[in-house]
Amino acid sequence: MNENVILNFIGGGGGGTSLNFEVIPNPQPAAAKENTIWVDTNEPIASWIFSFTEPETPSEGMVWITTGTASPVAFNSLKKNCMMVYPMSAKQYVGGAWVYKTAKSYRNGAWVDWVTYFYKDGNTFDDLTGGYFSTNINTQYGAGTVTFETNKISLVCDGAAETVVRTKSKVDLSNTKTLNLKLHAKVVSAESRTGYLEFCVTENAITGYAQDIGSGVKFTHEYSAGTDGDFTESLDVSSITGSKYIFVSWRTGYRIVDAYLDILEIGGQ
Amino acid sequence: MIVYIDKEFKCHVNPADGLTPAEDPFFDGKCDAFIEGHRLVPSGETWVRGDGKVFAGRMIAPWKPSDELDNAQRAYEKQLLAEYEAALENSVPVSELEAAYQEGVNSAYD
Repeated sequence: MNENVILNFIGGGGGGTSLNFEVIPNPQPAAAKENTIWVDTNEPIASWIFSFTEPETPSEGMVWITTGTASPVAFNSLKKNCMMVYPMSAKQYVGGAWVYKTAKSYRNGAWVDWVTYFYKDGNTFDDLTGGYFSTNINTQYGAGTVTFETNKISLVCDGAAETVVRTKSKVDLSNTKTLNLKLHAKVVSAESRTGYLEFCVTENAITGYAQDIGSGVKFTHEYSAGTDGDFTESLDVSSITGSKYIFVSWRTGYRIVDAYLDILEIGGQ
Repeated sequence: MIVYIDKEFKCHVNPADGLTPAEDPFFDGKCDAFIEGHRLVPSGETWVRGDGKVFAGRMIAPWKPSDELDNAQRAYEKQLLAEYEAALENSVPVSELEAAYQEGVNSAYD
């Protein structure tokens, strides 16, 4: 994360006459002014702050909107001139501790989720991820391939093989609560064999499923023969501090299986 | 490594009533503080976070700040290394072992 963009921007509840946005708690209105930020909280929002770093003097009810260098809900915070803000996540100081809160922005007539994408529609977001490393491990019984297509990353195991995709750089997950992997899985096997997914955030720059991830979060799932559908798999990264690699492995352990995994999106909230 | 999980899927290093054993190589070589700062959701089960978000197993994730757990693990590994080095320093040289063995053999014929 580029620390040159640290922005400390403090206000009271709601918005101000020179500001181009508002910060509101529950209830979430069906419609709102452009750039309204709704925070899913029943606690009063006593004040708010936009900052990359943790506020030094928090007070009860304060909402801390963490900021970064890219955001799907970036906006000009001023009515005159321009001060761009890149929201990433929201926390509220409740009972002496920061608590993650869901937040959305009202944009062009709809509420938009705060998602930081690390892969979407062929975009590898190299400024955040460093691009993606990929490899395949073949056996005498099969071969794997990884293909970066225009709108997906395609991992194919034809027989017994393993394929791997990992960010080249560690990704800062300090202000991310959940990491979601949207995928399409298809497993074809006459002998009820499975495709095996690992989705992790790792301390080590691993290149295969059996390696020590060091510390991080590990999700594993077997997709049975006959699977053919879209899925979203999620990691709880709310206690991850600092930066980790994002790692996806797709493998099969048997010859009589063709297994396809398309990575459609990787996003953090 | 076998760990024992409670109803919130938090890991414990020792068995107790109400805890379910589970095995995962993720915890191999890890210290007690590291293990007990993690949650293990077994395959086929789900955990609901405080905000209502549902996570499917099999998932291993820290529930304590990961830097705190990493620091505990590093301190543990550093301590292990120091113990190994001390053991090496205090070990008996092979030449002394061979001499003692030979002395023992000789004494059998005295």
